[in-house]
Amino acid sequence: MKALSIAATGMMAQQTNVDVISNNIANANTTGFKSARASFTDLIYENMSREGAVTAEEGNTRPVGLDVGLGVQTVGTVRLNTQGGLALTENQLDLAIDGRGYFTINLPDGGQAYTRDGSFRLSAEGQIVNQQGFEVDPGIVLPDNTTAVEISDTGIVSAYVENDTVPVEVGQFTLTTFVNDAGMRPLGDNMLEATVASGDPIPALPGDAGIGILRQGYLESSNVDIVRQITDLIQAQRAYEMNSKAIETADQMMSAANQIK
Amino acid sequence: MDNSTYVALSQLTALERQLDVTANNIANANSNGFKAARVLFESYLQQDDASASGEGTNYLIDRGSYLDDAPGALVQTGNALDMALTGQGWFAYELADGRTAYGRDGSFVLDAQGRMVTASGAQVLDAGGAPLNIPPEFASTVSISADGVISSTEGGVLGQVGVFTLPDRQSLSRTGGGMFLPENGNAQLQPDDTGTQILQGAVESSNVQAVSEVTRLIDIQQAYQHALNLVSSEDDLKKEMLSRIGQTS
Repeated sequence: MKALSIAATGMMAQQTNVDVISNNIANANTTGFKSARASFTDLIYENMSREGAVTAEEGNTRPVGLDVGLGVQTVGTVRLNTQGGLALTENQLDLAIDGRGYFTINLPDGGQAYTRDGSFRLSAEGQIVNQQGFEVDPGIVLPDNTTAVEISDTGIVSAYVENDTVPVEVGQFTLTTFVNDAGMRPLGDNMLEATVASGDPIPALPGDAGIGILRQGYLESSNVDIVRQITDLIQAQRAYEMNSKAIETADQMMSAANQIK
Repeated sequence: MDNSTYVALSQLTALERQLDVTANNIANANSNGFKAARVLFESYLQQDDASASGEGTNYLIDRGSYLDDAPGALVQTGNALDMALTGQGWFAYELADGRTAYGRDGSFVLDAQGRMVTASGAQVLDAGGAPLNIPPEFASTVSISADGVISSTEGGVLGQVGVFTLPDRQSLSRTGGGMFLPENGNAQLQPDDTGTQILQGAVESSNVQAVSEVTRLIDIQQAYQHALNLVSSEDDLKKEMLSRIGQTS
């Protein structure tokens, strides 16, 4: 009786599903977080008898085969790359990307990571860094005694120094895109990294064709749809219960078979 | 053992198989595009000596499993490249070994080369039967029409997703990964002409009906118990017979 192990794959799949959903819910308030959806497909099949095989009777061929599936597998978690809502913060170093693209973060180990979280700060040296203190590419430094910063929708950063009424242009934010956003690997801390599946990073500027623009003083909220997550959670729980019902049935059948004399 | 025990045994074996198939349906209750399987039972008439008197022994044989091709519910996902089929058409995929498979799982992504693939990496075929590619720069801004034409405002028409007809659906063998292989290998792809439409931003969920699957579990268990009771009664009968023979001698 394979039903036990088949139903077990179903229960494990639902556990994975609940794990993914709980992570979405846990990150409902994480800036720039993109919700994920676990994707399942059927596992391999055991062909007990082949379709089209010749049967014993009068040389007929078998119209249908007898395929017994061996359960379910998780093929991946697909990230949903829709735009999150823009929340007004009025912090002049908060940036939201309205459209496609990622900020590039220079990691201390020399690598680069990508994020949609634009809640930036200044380092002690006046450099624009992310929440973890890592430099935001291409490394924009604000002059000493900067009183105000203006960031245009194409990413040009202008600083007002002391009492000057004319701002100084100090740099421009760049964005990065990927052929396959869904193939990027999450690193935690709101950062993703490029992989073989995502393709090489494609540099771009905010406002280029097909690329998002920047909104100063806003942060992108997560795109987690709480109602959807909760209904998915209920569904996952019911599916788990159904699988455990299958195990129970298989168990009772086996137990009955064992008691026969 | 007598015939009745063997008849019960044939039913027990078939029921175990049906339980396996039902457990697989339940396990795949959340698999995109999954189609439930049903088991086909048939009586198998044994022309033994008793048939001379017009009686035969009917054994049970599980003849095959067939596809329940009812449509699954459409779930909105919001991903631009997710496609759900409404109607009788199927997507076609090219597997890594070059074979063509069919399926209804429309949860697609682009790989790093701009090829449209399923989550498990099989390549989606276009209306002409060739692997479908989308120029990467337009990937995130595509819109897909009801007949599968993929276009973007900047790039114009980029391709068309193939929707095909499967004339002999029940002869497909399942390969896992939500895919079906035609019996005669790479048959000619037949474009769908039944008016199947594509819905962008949604995927077709599995067509497993929770209530009927769980009811089936109960049915299977009851039938199994009955068959076991038959074996038990046969045993009791034999015991009684032997003890009566013992008394008379």
